[in-house]
Amino acid sequence: VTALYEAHALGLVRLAYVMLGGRAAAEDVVQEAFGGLYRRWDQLSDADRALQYVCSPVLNGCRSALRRRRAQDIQAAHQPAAVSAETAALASEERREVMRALRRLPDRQREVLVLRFYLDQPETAVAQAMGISQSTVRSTAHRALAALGRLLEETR
Amino acid sequence: MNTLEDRIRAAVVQTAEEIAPGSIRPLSLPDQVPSGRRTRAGRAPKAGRGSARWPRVLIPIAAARAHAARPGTGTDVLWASASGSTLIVSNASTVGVLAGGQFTPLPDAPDVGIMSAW
Repeated sequence: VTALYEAHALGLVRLAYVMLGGRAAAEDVVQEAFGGLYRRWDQLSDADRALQYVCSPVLNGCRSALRRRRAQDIQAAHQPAAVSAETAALASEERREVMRALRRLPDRQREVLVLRFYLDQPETAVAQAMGISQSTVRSTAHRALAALGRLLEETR
Repeated sequence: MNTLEDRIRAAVVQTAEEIAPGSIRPLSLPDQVPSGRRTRAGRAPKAGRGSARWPRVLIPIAAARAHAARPGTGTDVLWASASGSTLIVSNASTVGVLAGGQFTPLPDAPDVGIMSAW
């Protein structure tokens, strides 16, 4: 489990960070997912697929964290990771607009877009990770793009 | 052309890269928890609670006794394996081994009526 964590933690924390907007919360979600994998390790039917077993808990953990945070202003939820002033200065307004709009989408729509555009996952992999059908992935992505386009238009 | 898809891709990739390689805290695994025994995060299992009330070896014996000592069988469990799947039983007429639904009498022991206890 530790070796798997060392190999994949960065990607999964980044995924959770994109979803949640907070570094500490992202790391907590990934730690919990690997803790769960560790507890169930003896019951895994195929250890080679362990990474798949940990992806779904990461997504579920992100959903739970977002639900807990729902009462707060979602736009204020983004807590940038500690980066240098220079890096922060380079972060474009364009990117912040897109991320703000992305975080205003419903959970499922945001997950589909992040898995598709950040991880470059094909529809089959997105469907498997989210536990939904390929056709649902396709229709959700279509609705998500339309909604995101509207949200970005509103901010102009 | 800067499509909406390109904008999303650029935004999520740049955002993700705010997490620098090597900056992730090491994995903190929970204390060793026996397989299949679930606990809430941060709450250690209550050590020894089960063993204090029902020592492991007594559970299959108690179950076997309850099973074998049904009214009318007159059968005693002399020994039970840890899982309770294998018993050495006796009644007034024979002694033998009960395992997997099969009774095997010990040599020179008569084979009468034990299967009714299984």
